[in-house]
Amino acid sequence: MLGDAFCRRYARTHDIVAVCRTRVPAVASQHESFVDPLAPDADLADNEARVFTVMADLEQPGQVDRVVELALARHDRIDVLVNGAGHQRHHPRGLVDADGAVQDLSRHLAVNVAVPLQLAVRVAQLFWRDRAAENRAENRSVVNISSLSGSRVYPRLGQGVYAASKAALNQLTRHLADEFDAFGVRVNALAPTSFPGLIPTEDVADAIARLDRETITGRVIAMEDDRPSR
Amino acid sequence: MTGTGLDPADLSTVLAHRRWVRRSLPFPHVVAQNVFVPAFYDELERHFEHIKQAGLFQKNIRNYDAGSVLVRDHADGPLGIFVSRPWHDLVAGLFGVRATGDVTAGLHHHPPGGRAGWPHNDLNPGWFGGGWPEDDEIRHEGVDDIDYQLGPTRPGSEGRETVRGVSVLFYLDNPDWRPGDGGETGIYPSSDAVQRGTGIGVPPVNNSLVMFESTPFTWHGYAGHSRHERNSVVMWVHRRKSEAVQRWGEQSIAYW
Repeated sequence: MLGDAFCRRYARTHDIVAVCRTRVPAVASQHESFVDPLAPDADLADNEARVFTVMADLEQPGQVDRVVELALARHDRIDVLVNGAGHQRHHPRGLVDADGAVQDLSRHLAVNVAVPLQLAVRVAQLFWRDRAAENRAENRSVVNISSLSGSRVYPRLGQGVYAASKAALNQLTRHLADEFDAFGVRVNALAPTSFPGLIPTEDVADAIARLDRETITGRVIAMEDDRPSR
Repeated sequence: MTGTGLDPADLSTVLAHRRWVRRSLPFPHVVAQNVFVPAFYDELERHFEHIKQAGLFQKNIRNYDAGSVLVRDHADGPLGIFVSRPWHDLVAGLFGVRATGDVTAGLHHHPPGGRAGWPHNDLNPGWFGGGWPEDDEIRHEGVDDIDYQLGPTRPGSEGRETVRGVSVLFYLDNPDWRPGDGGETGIYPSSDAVQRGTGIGVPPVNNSLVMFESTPFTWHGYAGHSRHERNSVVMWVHRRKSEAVQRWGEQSIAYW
């Protein structure tokens, strides 16, 4: 959902490699394009900006390496890494109800923490680590998509396991920022409240683009529902 | 004109939008959602439901767990758009197929829990009567003593053998579909992939369609296991057989 919104808003201004497990964004890509059924040979403006889609299950061995290598092969550079993949399963009957929450912990940590770490490390190893001056000139960065649940407790929603994984991602973000500062890459996290329920998904996409333009690092930016309560 | 004043002969008035999606994998195909404007889609659904309630569906397709009705016999209503020349030309134009004007279309009704269909590529022959249609003409199947699959059925009748050029599947009059409900049409990158089940599913979402040029590589089939009934319009335009033979060889034609 967030990836789709980001691609639709920024495909014209960014060269995007969209990593997809099952769903692809509703924008033109190397595999999909728009066609006017009544003028099938017409050139459509919608097709001018195309993303490069890579189908990958990032939990599987070797897939992180494959994705990074494909992105570099396609564009010769990576300026911003957006870690938007996420796993979310709530346990509304609580953490002590049977073993569901305990069993779900490892997958939450794998998708929400280990995969962002692997991607950031692999991009650093293959491209960023020895380009400090260039990285600073290009203002390169990592944006991890976290959640307000990573720093707050919403009672009785069963978010304990999910929230713990996002809290881990927040702290990982700070540590990555500290280490990546050596070669000039900023690392931040965006922690939105529920979208699109409480804030528009497009607002979160825009916040990613803003973080890409900023100069801050090591921050976890909260995005709350600031609409007046009704 | 229809009851709502819409004119299916002018497709620009009944299509809801002009941004369909062309996909290259697992083989080239076009998909579209919200194909027709709501007023016209409602007419299509009412027409389909009327035919269904009249008990006109018959299980007459070999090895296929669906009842069917020829659109040809109901072409005077909204569903007739699928056997109209403008629709034929739109379908052919999307794939650059030099279509002949020969059309076959059917309504399909699968009961809940129906069996999966067999995988096939649709590069089948189709016989039609009369001479080659003019540019503004449509020729239906099963007239002039010409059987669509077998050809002339009476001594002295003359038929033309064509090959399916583009396949179209349009979903309508189905309960709301959710992941897990089954009933998708599977499309596969190869015949081997059918066995492995490694394709993608096109779900029966109302007012959506999938279409593709019929080639030796367009493996697809009804995936079955539908929680609900599954209703659709299937339709083919055709190309000259000589063109298909020149392109893919005689052995590629899937004779009935």
